[in-house]
Amino acid sequence: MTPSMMQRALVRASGLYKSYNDGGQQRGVIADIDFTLTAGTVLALTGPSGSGKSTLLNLLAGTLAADSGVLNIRIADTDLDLVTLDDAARTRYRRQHVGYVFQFFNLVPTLTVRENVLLPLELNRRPDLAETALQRLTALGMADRADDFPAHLSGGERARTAIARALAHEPVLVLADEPTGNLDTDNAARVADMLISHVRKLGSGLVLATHDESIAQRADQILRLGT
Amino acid sequence: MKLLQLAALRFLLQARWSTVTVVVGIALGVASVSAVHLISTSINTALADVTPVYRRELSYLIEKPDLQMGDYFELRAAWRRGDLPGVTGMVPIIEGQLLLDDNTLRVVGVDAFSGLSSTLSLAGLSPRGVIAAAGAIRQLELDPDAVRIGQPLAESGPLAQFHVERSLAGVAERLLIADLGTAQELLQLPPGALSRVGVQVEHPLLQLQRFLDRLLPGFGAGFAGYHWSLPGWQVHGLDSELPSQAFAQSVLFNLGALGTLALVVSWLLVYQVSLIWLRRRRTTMTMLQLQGVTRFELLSGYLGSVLPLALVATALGIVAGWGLAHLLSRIATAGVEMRVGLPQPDTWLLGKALVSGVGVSLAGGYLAFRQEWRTASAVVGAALLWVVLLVSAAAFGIWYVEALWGGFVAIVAVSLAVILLITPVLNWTKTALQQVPGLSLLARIGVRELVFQPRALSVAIAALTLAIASSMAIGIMVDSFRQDFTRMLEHRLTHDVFVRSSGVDLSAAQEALQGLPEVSAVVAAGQTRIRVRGRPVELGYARFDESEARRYGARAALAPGQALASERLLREFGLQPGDSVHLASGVLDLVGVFPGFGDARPRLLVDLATARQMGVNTGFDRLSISASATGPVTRLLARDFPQLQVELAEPLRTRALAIFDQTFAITRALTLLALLVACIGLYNALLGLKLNQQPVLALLASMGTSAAELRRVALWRGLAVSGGIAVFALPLGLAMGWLLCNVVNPRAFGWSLQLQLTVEVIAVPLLLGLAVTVATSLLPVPAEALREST
Repeated sequence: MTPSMMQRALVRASGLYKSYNDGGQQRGVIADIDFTLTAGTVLALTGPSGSGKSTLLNLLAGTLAADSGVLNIRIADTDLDLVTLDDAARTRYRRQHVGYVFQFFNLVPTLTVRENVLLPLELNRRPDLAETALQRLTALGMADRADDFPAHLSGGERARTAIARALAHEPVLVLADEPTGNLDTDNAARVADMLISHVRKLGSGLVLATHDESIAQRADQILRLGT
Repeated sequence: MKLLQLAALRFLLQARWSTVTVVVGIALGVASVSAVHLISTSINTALADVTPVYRRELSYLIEKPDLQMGDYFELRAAWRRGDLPGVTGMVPIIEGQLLLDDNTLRVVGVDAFSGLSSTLSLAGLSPRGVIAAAGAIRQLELDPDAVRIGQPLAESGPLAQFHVERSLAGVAERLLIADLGTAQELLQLPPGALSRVGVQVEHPLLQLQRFLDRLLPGFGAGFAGYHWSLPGWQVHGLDSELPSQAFAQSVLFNLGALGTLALVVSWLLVYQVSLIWLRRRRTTMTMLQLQGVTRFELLSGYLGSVLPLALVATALGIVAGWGLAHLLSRIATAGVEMRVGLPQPDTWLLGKALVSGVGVSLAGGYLAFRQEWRTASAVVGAALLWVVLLVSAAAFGIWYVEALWGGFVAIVAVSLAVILLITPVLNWTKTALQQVPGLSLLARIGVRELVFQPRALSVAIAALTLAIASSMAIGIMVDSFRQDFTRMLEHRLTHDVFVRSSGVDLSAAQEALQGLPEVSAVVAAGQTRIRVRGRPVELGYARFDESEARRYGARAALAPGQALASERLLREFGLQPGDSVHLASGVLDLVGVFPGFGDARPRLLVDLATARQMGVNTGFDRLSISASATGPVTRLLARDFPQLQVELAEPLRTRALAIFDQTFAITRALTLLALLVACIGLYNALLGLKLNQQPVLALLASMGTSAAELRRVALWRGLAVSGGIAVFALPLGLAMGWLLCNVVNPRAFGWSLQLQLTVEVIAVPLLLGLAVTVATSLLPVPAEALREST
């Protein structure tokens, strides 16, 4: 890693350790995790079930705090130390700087496609980004479904809506947990392409957990867990 | 226990939180029915206690001028010959007043051996022995615990030869009951004199009325009733003789309806929760179906699991009903000198409680099961069809059917129509809400939960809508009733003393009273029965000068040929003020209408001159006296006219208003109970909704939504549900209020109530319901319920 890359490092993880209490015993889920992610690049997380992919994504999202190690996020020339941040600060960080694409897309069923996409902007009070977000929705091929509710969408359409929502507030970090796990091969490839290309275009970092080796191969780097 | 039933029961036991709330809801519904039954029985017993024993089994009192024992024996002979079909008993009666130490006692003599079982209790009285009611014992200053055979009525004088032989507890009237001969002697009447004859009549309609009264207290009072007549005799129903009983029946009717309301709401609660349970078990049941289990077997298993809950809830409801009845009785009699002892649980109570508890549980479970297997489009289509049919039924009940049941049909139909509209309206709102500008997305998430889960919420909304609307309607009716009731008291009790006679000429009494310096006015009035279009109508006559006419709402004195009509007369004959009534003896122009509160029959009021022109024998049977002091008036009447019945205005007014207010305290408490059951139902529905919403809340949390913002989503959801309830409850409450005042009351009791709409009556139940909804929405999901749902 060159010094210039170090300067542009978006995520820096070192010696990360996280354990759960399992029937009175602490069980380490991830240990000694080290990686660096620069803006505009993609990191693929692979590994068998239970290897800690989701846990690492949760640490990156700030929904969990690591037991030890370093996990810094570079935002506007400032490093946020997610290991030591309190709950409220982690919530603020997640709201403003993280976009999340879930395995089951988790769209809000009572909001239309357009409203789902605008939700992060409302939470962040960023109406200025609405036009761009809706243009992105159009670019993802969802313009004609904007007023439909999620129950009426196909799996691929839900995935595209979820991508548009995750990128709407232009987060510095996008996290995707098996975003193609419920799609057929063609759709999975298309959705992965869309996600990666839009993140790159935005200049954000993408951490993508996947079981699909062909998807993982599209990433700039691969972190294999549980090996 | 069959495995399907066992599986369903185990599910209910696992879903402890909702199971407990359902059991509580059913128990409260049963408690309401049980409490109303106990209170009604107690009121009926109290009424029977204050009804003189000789009247308890009678259906009618009949009389004619110069009635003698000979007339009675002729009548009895005709009955024994079989010339009076339907008559099952009769008893001769003597009534009059006795002056004792400047106080008056009412004396009644009856033939103990007339054949009625109630009068048999009078048998065995020794010569000149009397039975003294509690009121008379107080009057005679006797020790109620020491009344014994031989205690004389007076220390000396002619009354000393009469003695109190027994006491009659509970009857507050100053009443002495004796054998016919003793009464004649006490009242110094000539041998053979008789006041009236009591007649017992049996008819299938009267039996049906009694049965319905046991089933739903006061219900029978709403029927037109059976009119028995006897040529040559004036026939008076017991209701006209005891107007307080007619009023009490109308009160019991209110209580009965309200007791049923809480049960209906608890039925909706069972239905609502069953829907939630069945949805959670749908996967399991579909799997069982795939293995060959029939839908009927699934239904049987489900209902079999609900049955034990129903039995437990019923048992709890009976116990709670007992406590509730005690509490309500205390509320109702606080500050009123009234002793209400609750009866022991009887077969009726157990039967009603069991049918109520088990019935609502099984019916609610069955309908929910059917609903769960229906398709949404079929439900909406069927609902709209039903709404059209129900609105037609309501119109039919209001404008076509003239009987009371039409009013009930209208109320039930309007309520059901509004309830059935809830789901289609929520579905329509789903698209309409997209057009609402300026609503934040978090607010939309909260609000749209309501319209995205219409089946999960609509029944709970229906239950609370029904409870709030009923509360509003009852409030409107009570408010309106109180104003009209107060007006009625002002009309009827303008004078200070009221005198009634049965066959005695009042002109001497009138003359004597006018001679008293304390008396400022004596108005003599009489009443007779005439026939209008072949139907009996009471014709009242007096000197209707301007002031007397004003008491009945007229603006000027009644001119010859003019009449005032009661509302009941106008309704029964299809007349309007301004119309004319054609009689064989002439034509009467109807120049005004009066409510006729408490009238059992249609009534016309005319001036004395008009009555004479009609050829009516214008003897007076009542005097209304205005006096600066009532003591001299009552003393004079008791001394010189002992056969007259005397009542004072002020105690009557005070007692009537006190009973009115205390009675409706029970009404309010029962309405609150129905609201409570509805709130439990809504809590269950919102809890189910919140459990369904957990993934969305988790998603919002993952997007960085703060706890305060999540609470705002819940607040919006509560406000949306509240708004939905208000939209349905307000028009339904007003419609039900209008129906109660203008359709049910005129048909049940013969008078309409002037609709009084106050902000308080409308706003209080609405705000109460809305506050509960919002609070319920904001309550956190209990950990127990969260565990059950996973």
